[in-house]
Amino acid sequence: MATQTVVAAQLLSVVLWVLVWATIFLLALILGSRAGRLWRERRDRQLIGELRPAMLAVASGEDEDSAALSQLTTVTRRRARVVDHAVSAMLSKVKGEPARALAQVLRSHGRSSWALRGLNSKRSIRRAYAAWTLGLMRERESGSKIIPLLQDRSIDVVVAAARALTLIGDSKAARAVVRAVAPRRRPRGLPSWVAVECLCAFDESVTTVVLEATAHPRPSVRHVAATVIGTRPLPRAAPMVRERLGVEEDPRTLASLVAALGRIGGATDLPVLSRFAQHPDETVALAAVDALEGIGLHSSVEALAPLVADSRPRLSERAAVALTELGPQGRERLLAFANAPGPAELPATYALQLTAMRSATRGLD
Amino acid sequence: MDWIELLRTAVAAVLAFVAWPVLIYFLVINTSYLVMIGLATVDFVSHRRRIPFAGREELMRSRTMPGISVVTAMHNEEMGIRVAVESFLSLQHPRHEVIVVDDGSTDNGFEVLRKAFDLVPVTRRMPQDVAVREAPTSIHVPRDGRTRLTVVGKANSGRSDSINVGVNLAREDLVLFVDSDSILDPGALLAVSRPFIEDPVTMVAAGGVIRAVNGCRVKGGRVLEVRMPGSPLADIQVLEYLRAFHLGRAGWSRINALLLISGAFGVFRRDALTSVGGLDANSIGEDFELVMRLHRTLRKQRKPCRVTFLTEPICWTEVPSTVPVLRRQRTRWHRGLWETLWAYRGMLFNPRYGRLGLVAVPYYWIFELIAPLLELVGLVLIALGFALGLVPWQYFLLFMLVAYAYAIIVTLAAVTVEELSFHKYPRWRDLGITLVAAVLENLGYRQLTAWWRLEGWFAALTRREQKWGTMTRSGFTEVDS
Amino acid sequence: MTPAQPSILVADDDPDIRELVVFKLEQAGFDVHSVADGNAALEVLTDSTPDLVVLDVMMPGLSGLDVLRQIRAEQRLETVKVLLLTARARDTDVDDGYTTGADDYVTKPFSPRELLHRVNTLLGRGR
Repeated sequence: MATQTVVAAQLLSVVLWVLVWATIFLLALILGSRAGRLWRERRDRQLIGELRPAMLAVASGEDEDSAALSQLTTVTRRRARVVDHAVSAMLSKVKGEPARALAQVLRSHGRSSWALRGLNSKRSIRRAYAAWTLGLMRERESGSKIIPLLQDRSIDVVVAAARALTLIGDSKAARAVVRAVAPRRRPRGLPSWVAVECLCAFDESVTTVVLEATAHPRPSVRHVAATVIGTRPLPRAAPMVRERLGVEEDPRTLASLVAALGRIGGATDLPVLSRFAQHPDETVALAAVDALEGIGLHSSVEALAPLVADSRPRLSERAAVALTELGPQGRERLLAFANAPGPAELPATYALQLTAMRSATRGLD
Repeated sequence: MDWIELLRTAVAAVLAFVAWPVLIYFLVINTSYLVMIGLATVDFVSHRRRIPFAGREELMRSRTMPGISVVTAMHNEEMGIRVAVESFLSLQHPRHEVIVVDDGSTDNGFEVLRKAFDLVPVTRRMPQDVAVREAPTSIHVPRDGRTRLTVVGKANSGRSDSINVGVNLAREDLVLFVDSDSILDPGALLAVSRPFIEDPVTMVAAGGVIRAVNGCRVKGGRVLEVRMPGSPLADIQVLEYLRAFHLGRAGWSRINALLLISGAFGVFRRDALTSVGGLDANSIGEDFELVMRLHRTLRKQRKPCRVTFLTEPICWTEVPSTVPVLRRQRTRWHRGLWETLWAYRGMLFNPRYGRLGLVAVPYYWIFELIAPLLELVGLVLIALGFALGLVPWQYFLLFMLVAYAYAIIVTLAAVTVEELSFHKYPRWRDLGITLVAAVLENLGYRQLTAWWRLEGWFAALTRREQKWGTMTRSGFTEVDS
Repeated sequence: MTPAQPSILVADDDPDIRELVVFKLEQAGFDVHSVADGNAALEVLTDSTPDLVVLDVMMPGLSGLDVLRQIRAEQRLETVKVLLLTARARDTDVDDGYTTGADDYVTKPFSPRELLHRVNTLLGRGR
């Protein structure tokens, strides 16, 4: 008894042909792409091989008669592409006179105008590459043209633009960078690490922008501002930091502010920091302990000592280890804790153990 | 003969219902794979192009880089643990630590570590962020007081509980779970931290599929050259992981519906992890179950919860090279899948969980959980039908093409994407081995693993005790200098 | 004229930087060897004692700091000067380098001229 599963012959042959052609296509793609890649790599190696010594000469600043430089600038167009690729890679690794010479190579190949045109390209990869290339060439004049890309719809372009501006170092872009962290219409903003690196690379004039940003409605922006203050550092921002500590709600930003105060604050901030060491959010509390250590005065020892008895193990350990970094006074307090029963005994013992181990291996220094 | 007629009638009756649905099932699953691989291609290509200005070195330099704690549980791993820990310690990252939790090993694993790193005991209290069954009995650190390695001793209580101990002792913001027999690429930690830096507020977990290291040249805990193993069983598994790797990238993480599946590694934000209670020591589902729990808990609390998939191949592990070990692994995986999906059945078609509940979870039910059943039943019925003359040869051929030839095409597509994007297998010979394995996979391996998965499911349903067994290590091909 | 050219070992996994440093130092008259990772560096150091080692901190396998620690732990290599190439200028990273026994460091992106200057200073050539 046959079933109703009658299959039209055409259906079968269609399926068969589709599968056969798909197989052929994929196999061709696999083999072709591998062969093509190997061939291209070999060709590029050949092309660049002859010019490598010249490039190294320029990159190391050994090219006093500019012979190598002229060798690089006068290559055929086909080679220029490969050379530019290698030069761009090298440019991100060196600075100073060699970087300027390498940038000149790129400029001689028309990279500068290529990049400027590329800023308006429809393809996001091209825009990103263009911005990045301008940044590598440290073209200060193109800074203003890169700034609009901070509001680009592609996040890659925004990141490339920000990193290019970091290399260029034009602090006029600071405000735009801050705005890019929390764009109004797009869900994802500039990642904070890029923004922080960028703002740290700018000069002192960035202080006003950063101070304003500490009160921005969006927490991600405030976080960036607080981190910049603590990492640059920006001592002039200390009063603003103290003010914000009273009102900041976002725990991450709070932790950054606390950390910043540890770097730019002084003895008068110890009570505030002690208070934050009692904060329910452990990240904030730990940041406060680090900040207390960072202030590094004798009075910090008094502020840190009670924390060694804290019920939160991480906190008590961190406080104890911090005390070991605060001179003989700190270590005395720890010894006292370690020898008396109580909640501070264990963390103090641990911290003293750690110090003993570290100093035993300090050796030749 | 009477019974044959009876059989024929029975099979014919079932076939009348099942014949076209089974065909459609295979068509849909293979096409969905193909679509996902297509999406993966687009992603990979654009990822590769971005590398020049992605800024990895700058990332290393960044002052906002979160620290990461690498947590691994060790149970009788004396052979490879030293190299593993050395390699974990030397990963590129400005601020990372390694925590090894000795899950009551009965071999010399701890001694090996003690000698290799000059460990001394320290007195520390373990924070109780996550509840654990077995508290640490000892904590050791290297004598220099600087190397950020912590070796924790405790009584045996399983991987999940041991990892929870590690999570409690972790001091950094991110936690990476990795098996101590896995190898991580030097840039793995940077790659793994990236999603969390770019999206610090909503990203809670990231996962990646491991790649098989069998056959690769390994030295000092680093993969020097990627090669196909050469043994059919291992080759086919390499292919499986490759496919899963390329499949996982596309689609799911984009629509924020990613679930981690077995054979993966995971990195989590520590605060999110502790807020849901860490790994469930009772569940075989481990990381998969954890991700489900994260999704459910955080969405209930109306907190953002994003899980992403890592684009780069960075974690390698040895896959089973013998049938018994493979079988135990697959039965365990499927059992874990069932238990977890059942435990979280409330998410199925539940609009509160958005695309996760409406798309991803149902997909897993149908195309991961029930799949082996459909496959085997379909295959058996149709083969039987053909043998009994109930099914015309055209249909049988069509079935074979759609079910298996199409699957080979899908695998070929994955290999193509691998070739275009990462091209980690440089030898032409390996390409040949891959293509042969793609065919071989459908001649028995697939059916066998389907049967084992059903075994695991059945075992779960009848609540038989899960045996983990030991993985017989054959070791990597250590290269002599 | 010094009796023999000082020998320098350069370890960096990035071929651009490695070749660049080798080129610069060779042009200055040094005898330079180069390796691509920490393991290879230690292997070279078991057979020979260079006058100076330029180490990249971030390398696959053993990091520059690991190699540094091993160098400082060995009596024979006591006189070897170590210059670190590091991507970070952050305090703790530099501190780590110094306390483990590095003699100087250069941050990336670096100026090749500056690098040569520091090498000369470390080797007492004060050019």
